[in-house]
Amino acid sequence: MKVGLKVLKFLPLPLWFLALVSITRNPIRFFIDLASFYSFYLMLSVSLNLEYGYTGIPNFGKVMFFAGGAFVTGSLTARLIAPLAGVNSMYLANYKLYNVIVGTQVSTFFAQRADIAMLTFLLMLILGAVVGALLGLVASYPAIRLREDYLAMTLIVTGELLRIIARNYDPLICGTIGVFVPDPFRWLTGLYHDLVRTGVMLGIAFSSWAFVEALVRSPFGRMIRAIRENEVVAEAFGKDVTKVRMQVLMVGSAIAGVAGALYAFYAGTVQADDFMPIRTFVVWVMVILGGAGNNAGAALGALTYLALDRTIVILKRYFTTPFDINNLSYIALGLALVLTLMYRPEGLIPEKPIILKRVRRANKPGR
Amino acid sequence: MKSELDALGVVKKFGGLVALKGVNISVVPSTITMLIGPNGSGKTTLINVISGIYKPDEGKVLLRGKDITGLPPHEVYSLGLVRTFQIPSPFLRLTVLENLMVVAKNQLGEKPISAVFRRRRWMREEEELEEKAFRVMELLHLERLWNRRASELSGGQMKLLEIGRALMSDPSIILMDEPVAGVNPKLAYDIMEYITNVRKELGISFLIVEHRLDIVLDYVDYVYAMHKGEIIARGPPEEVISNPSVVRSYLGG
Ligand SMILES: Nc1ncnc2c1ncn2[C@@H]1O[C@H](COP(=O)(O)OP(=O)(O)O)[C@@H](O)[C@H]1O
Ligand SMILES: [Mg+2]
Repeated sequence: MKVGLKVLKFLPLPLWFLALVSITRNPIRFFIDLASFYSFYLMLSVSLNLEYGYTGIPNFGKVMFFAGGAFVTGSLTARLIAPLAGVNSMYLANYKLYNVIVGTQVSTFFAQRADIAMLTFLLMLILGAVVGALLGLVASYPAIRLREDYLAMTLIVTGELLRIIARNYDPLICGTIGVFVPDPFRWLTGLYHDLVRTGVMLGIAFSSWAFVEALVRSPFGRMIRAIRENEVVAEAFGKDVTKVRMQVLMVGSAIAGVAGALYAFYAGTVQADDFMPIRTFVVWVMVILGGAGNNAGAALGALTYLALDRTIVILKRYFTTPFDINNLSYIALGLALVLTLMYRPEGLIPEKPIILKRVRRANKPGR
Repeated sequence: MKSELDALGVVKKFGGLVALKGVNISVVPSTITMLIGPNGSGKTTLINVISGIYKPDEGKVLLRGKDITGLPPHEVYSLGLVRTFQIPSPFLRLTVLENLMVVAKNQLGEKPISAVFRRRRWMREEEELEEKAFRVMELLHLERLWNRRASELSGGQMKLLEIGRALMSDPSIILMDEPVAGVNPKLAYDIMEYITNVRKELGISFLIVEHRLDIVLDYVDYVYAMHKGEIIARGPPEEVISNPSVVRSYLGG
């Protein structure tokens, strides 16, 4: 009974989505888009939840690790496969000018060679994770010994670093113009293509979620929550706080890196200015809205944010406003954040104690 | 006889303030040693230096003869030295049981990869740890609160939890910063009885900082008196508290 009521509480969200679908012209498209975006955002919010919600690391540089995965994918995929696909090397020499041609030819090659396409896809995800983890290590190295507030400031600044490098260093992702990313699912067509691709993305996203959930439901999770509560005391009780924070930032950033790689493939292009600090804050809103220190919360927060965001996207088609309607999404975002902090500071699903194992003892006193 | 803990000529400065001016103390194994002194005399600072939270400007700290000066706190802890905090500092959003279990050393499940992929292995460790935590809770009469968040405990219960946490790691020495301050007399005597039992049964040494001389003095073997960052007297309890300079320091000097 109690569980039933709890589920009812979240009914408005699916209903809201149904309402949105009913006014959209193409419901299948709507769901595919929704699910695709949800998979990146789920990965970002669950990894930020690991860092901030459980460990107390104020990662205000989240977008950089996401960008890391996207940039490596954007930069390498086409170039790596170009020789195999028989692309004229002249095009590679002036990549900034010809990247669309190279990328298109590689895509065409992927259409014939599903095996190579999928291996490339996998390789890029792994590279995304590695680059994310390394960036996590690099960013944390000077900063992680700092107190929380200084750490936040350092991360905010380093978060912008990669984007600015990418903007100004053309060989990476062709500067401000952006780079074309070939489609590793090109061997599929039509609806199949979209369904499979989105399915794979969702699968990876939920695996990341399950990984983080398993990680926090363990002595490791207990330890990071202790560090969050009081780092000096945790250190005095034998926890190597510096090392543990570094581990957490590496895991969280690896997940963000994979999300970035997926995003690059999905969008089909990578542009430096797509990785502005606002993305970091969007993910923060998801975590705070859903409930920090609870992975179900992170998942729900991401979904709630998307509901808002998609609504605005759809509204855009039906209304013209005297101001840029994109501002509306920032207003809605800010409003959601303020309301949560005022009325439900613990988020939609508050943190609960984690019970790992109860040794069955007849005389165990309970609450 | 080899001593459990030695501080040799420890100096600690905070800017212009010299909080410790060359402090020498030692703790004999399996004894309860006490450190007294008026507020601001440097007792907490000494504990912070010994446990690695502060680095001394001069001097050395030895644990069973091994130089531990300047080691980070988590390494000092792994060598068997635990300290409690003057202001009880449980991990507030963790339960009582979690507060105890989290401090156990060398847990397999604290390595991130093992945490995810070797669940069965560390679950066995968890069972043992949990049994142990319940034994500690029973000794301290906290077992009925096992599933409460530490933030829900009363001040006295937090003090007990602080002590319980120190016992969980099988330390060889426990440094306690005012374990019975602000605790009602009945509980204070219980705590001291308990400490005495632990000392007897497990052979753990204690260095206790305390103001409540009335309660604690009967239980201790040796006393150091500190004043303005210096040790001004040392010896058996009766001798130290009747020492005129100690009396004067307490009366306000
Ligand atoms: N972190 C610190 N920074 C500056 N001064 C400190 C610090 N910790 C302690 N002190 C000063 O050192 C002196 C000794 O303090 P403390 O060790 O806490 O004394 P006690 O525990 O004996 O009451 C006091 O004058 C106190 O103000
Ligand atoms: Mg003190």
